[in-house]
Amino acid sequence: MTDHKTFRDPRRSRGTSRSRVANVVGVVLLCAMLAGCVTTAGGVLGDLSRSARSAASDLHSAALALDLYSRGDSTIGVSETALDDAVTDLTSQQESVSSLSVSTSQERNARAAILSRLDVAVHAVIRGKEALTEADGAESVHSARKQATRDASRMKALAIRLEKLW
Amino acid sequence: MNKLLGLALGVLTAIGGFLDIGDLVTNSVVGSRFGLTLGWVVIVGVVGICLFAQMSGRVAAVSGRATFEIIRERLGPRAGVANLAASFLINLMTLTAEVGGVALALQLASSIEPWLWMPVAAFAVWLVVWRVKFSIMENVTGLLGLTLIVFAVALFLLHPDWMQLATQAFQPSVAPAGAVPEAGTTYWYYAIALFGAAMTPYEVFFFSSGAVEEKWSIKDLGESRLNVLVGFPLGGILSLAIAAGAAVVLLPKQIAVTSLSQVVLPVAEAGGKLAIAFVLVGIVAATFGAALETTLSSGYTLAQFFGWSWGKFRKPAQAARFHIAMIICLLIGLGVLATGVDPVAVTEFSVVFSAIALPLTYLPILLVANDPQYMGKYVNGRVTNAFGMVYLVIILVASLAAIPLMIITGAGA
Repeated sequence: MTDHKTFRDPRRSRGTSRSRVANVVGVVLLCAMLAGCVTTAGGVLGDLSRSARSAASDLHSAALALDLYSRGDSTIGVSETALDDAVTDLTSQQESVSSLSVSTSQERNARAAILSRLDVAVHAVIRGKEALTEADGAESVHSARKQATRDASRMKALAIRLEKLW
Repeated sequence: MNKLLGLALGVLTAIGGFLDIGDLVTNSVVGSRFGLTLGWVVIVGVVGICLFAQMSGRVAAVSGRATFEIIRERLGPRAGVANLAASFLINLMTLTAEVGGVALALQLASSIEPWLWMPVAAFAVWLVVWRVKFSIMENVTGLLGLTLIVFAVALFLLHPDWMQLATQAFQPSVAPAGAVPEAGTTYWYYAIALFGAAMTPYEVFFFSSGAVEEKWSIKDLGESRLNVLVGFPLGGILSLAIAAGAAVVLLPKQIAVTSLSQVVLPVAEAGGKLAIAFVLVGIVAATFGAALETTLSSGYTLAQFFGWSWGKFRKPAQAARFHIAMIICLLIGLGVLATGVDPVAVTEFSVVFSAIALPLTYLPILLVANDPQYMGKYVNGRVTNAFGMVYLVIILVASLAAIPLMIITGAGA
């Protein structure tokens, strides 16, 4: 067996190690950037329909959290966090949809429709979160859940319409 | 009697310690989007981690030295540095995700913003690594992690259509009934993520370094095999239960998991507040335990590569660089989280990058476990080597496909 101290090389090997580590870090960052930036299937309309799908998922998630809370099956911590997470995700969808560059009137109209629905969705979830702490909790939570479910269905319908346009 | 209790404790902590934030999130994401159609990947991943964990445990028990130390000595500094860079960076990413995971779990319990919990979690990790005995640390987090069995209990309470789950699992297709149609590339992207989550490299380094910490010898080989071969598969069953719960509750509502709060919704649906209490204790224990393991693994990999004095069995003053390295890694992880990055996104990236780095981690272990100079008569047998070779091919394919799939699918978007 060789003593591992034998391998302790001078600066040259240390320099090579550093540059190798720097290369690995570079590749990692590049991949993460590429993965975040690439427009996937369907072009802009594809991105818009995926945003609508994602927003529908957030709204369904908010509705489920409100439903569990109103049945006494969930804690205030879990319900509030689920609604906060839904708002964060919906807001991030708003930002990514706003930043999409559209080139045709069809894409422009689709983006405007989604942004309008996303605005309604954010308000619906925020309303649901407020309902959790209101005095007449049960009634407000019930109505917020129904609203979130309705908005989710509309958002899903919009996503399906857009998918047909690819 | 004491021997039996010791064996049971080892198996129980192996089950409880098997899951981490990567397993919790990835299994739930996959269950909510693909049902149980990727269940086969969990099985492939669990067999793989059993294979390499028992191999590295054997290397440590026979040679009395941790795997990483031998890899550097056996393969030289050039190959060693590739192994170090890949393992260390993935480990750092996983450490960041775990600390973020502790904070997210505490947010679920308290409604307090996670960024306020992050420094608390990092400080607690450092304190435990600094002060608490290795065996206590491992046993307490492992046993508390057992409360995650609530995922399996919840699945039964949900009264699922078992035939439908079995059909999804045994006749895998890209889009099970009721799911949003997904592209085939997205299916394979998540297959690799799930494989990376099951075979995270830190588990192997922690297992082998832990063997040195606990002074395993050849007579402990049986116990180590039992821990791995019984504990890990049972932990794998919990992974499948998480995916199945998401498939039963979230998939029909077309809720695609993007946050930890959604991971617990199926449990709440099945068992109410009591089940939530169990699952929150389990998630905090699992993520905190994994944060401890990844912090220690950061110190282990660096110290073993550079030949520093290391180990919790030594007083911190006798392993100063090992402890300082861990503090720096915790601070880096905390710094990354302070940028406002979503810990769940870090988790999703960390499991995929784990898959990319797998060949650099597992090939050296296979080489060392076959070297009679270190292993004597305890070198790998034919069957182990045959499995090892099959897994090297799978690992290589997963590693090569991961980056193109990540780019094509927009990281599984």
